[in-house]
Amino acid sequence: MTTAPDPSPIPNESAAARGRLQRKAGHVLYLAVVVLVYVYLLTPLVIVVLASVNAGEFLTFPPQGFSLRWYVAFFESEAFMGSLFFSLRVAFFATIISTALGVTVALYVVRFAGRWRERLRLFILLPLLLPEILTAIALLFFYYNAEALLRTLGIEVASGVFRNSVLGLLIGHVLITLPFVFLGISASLYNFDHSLEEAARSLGASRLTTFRRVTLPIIKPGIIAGALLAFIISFDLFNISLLLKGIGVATLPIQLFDYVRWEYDPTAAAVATVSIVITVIAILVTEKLVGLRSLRF
Amino acid sequence: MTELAIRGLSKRFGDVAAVDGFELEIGDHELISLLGPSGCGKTTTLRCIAGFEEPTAGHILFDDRDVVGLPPENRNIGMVFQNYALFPHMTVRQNLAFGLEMRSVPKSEMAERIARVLETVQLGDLGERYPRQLSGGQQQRIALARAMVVEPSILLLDEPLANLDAKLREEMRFFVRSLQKRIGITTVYVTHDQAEAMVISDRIVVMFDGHIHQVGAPDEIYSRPVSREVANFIGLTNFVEGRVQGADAAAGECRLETAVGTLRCAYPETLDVGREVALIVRPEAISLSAAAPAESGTNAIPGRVGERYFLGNITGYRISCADDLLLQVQDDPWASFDVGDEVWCTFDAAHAWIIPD
Ligand SMILES: Nc1ncnc2c1ncn2[C@@H]1O[C@H](COP(=O)(O)OP(=O)(O)OP(=O)(O)O)[C@@H](O)[C@H]1O
Ligand SMILES: [Mg+2]
Repeated sequence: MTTAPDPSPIPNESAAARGRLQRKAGHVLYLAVVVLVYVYLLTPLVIVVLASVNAGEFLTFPPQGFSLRWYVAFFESEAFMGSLFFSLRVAFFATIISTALGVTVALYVVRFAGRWRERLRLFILLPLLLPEILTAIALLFFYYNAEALLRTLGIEVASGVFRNSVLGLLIGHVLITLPFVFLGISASLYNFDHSLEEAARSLGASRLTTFRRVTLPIIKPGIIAGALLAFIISFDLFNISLLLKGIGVATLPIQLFDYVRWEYDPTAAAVATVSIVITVIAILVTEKLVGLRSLRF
Repeated sequence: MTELAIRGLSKRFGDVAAVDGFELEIGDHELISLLGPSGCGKTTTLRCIAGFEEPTAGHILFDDRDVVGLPPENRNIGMVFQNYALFPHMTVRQNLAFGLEMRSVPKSEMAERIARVLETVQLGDLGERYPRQLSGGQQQRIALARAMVVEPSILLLDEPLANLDAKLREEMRFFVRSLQKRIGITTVYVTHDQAEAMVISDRIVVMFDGHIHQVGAPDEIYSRPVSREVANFIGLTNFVEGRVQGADAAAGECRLETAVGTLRCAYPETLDVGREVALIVRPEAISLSAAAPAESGTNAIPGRVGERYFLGNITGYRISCADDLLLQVQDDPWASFDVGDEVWCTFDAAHAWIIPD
């Protein structure tokens, strides 16, 4: 056996002190970087909230006095309120459908897919990996062709049944949000201890009862976390909504986009703040129901 | 109570025969252990009995009723898992109530039975806790209670003590055994720990590679093993290879010619002269002496102490004998032979046994 070369002589007092100082400086530097990241993330939010209570006529910063007039303008605007409720409705149904599909598909992929598992997983995550605008364009083409295809098959469909309707929009939102739900649920299924289900069966519970009484309650946090993300993301979708929304309706982000093209008053900031509040409420509800820890994947 | 019969049970996973031609009858009140090295098919056998695996062939009879094809929930079994599998989102009481709810037991009776079983496992005051708030040993006993509160016809346990520390594991052996005897439930107990199987079982089934090698009471398995594998797996064993010189079935004795001289051995069956066999003798059956034994009736092998170790209750030796034979010997802790001493290893014919290869 060979011995390693003799290390440097025993460090003296001052070298040890210097080492401590260096470690401390490193630690402070590290904290500073983390703080900067948070500042970077949060500053726009703070500014938008401050801008929304601006008494002045324009989206300026710093604000000129305090006023809630832009909130009043928002709540009195039929276009904005209409699109807010439209967005909430779409997000609500997209979440429900995504969650139901997500549970079903995740169960299959994790439990029964066998050697196809990884491939199936990748497919369902595709909308997450592809640019949203591509998914939107693909869907739009698909809708055109699907309509034509149904007609040649002799099935009579109204013109624009997908393209110009809530149905088409909803399909798009489900497609985009499904991967998030899937990730949440499959993560909790991968961690699921199989013997719990067997214990339930051995105690006399049927497959269905076992699922209802044991599996579902245990993966519930994953489901709720996935549903929450789905809701927030659907509420926020822009590209896909722009391409797939019907004529004459608009989701909140699109309405907002339309608005800021022509106007430059703080109503936009008020709308943004309301969106933030809705997201925060969704997170608080989740925290109340299952704890924020379940948002870890 | 229920008798369990397993006839010609086989289970294949693709090319692997996890269990092959398993035959066993388990009587009412009996506690049977399945013992064997990792991967020998113990768990698979148990899961076939429970209904979690569909046998490739064979029959499993609960009191003459074939249960193959019946889903686990209709077999009225109680099962304890190695990791306990307590429902984490339910309190202890809810865990215990689960099986009773599945059987539509009325509320008042349910409360009474849960109280009784908690008393039995000596955890009367833990009903409102969640599993994560219990120690490993407590979880283990709750798992046992949950399996038993439904009064199953058969109790199945898969290495239920494997996750406990050594001290607790030894205590729980006696706990499980006395509980099983008190309730008198037919039980199949899977373990790869031979000491655990010896303490707990009425009979032990020793398995290798999906096959049963031997079924018998603990002392029978230990002193009269039928194969080298069984002898090797259970306790320490010395093998002395030899050739049958003469056998007298009536006297229950057999003489072998070996590299270390003629050895005599108890064996009830007649073996052909000249047949190659192995004589086995356990380390504690051998005693050491400095002088050759005066009696001519005992077996004596000369050797030299190669190693010695102290274990408290015994002193162990490794004795080098002629022809590279290494004998393991366990003697009194106060016997004092040193490494290098010339010694005689003596043992009674009655304490040796033959394995015909
Ligand atoms: N679901 C399965 N698919 C494929 N092979 C399996 C499956 N379950 C068990 N086997 C194989 O069957 C054999 C017996 O496994 P089993 O789990 O019954 O062993 P065991 O005696 O319980 O071992 P251990 O003491 O390690 O728990 C092993 O070779 C194992 O790899
Ligand atoms: Mg096993």
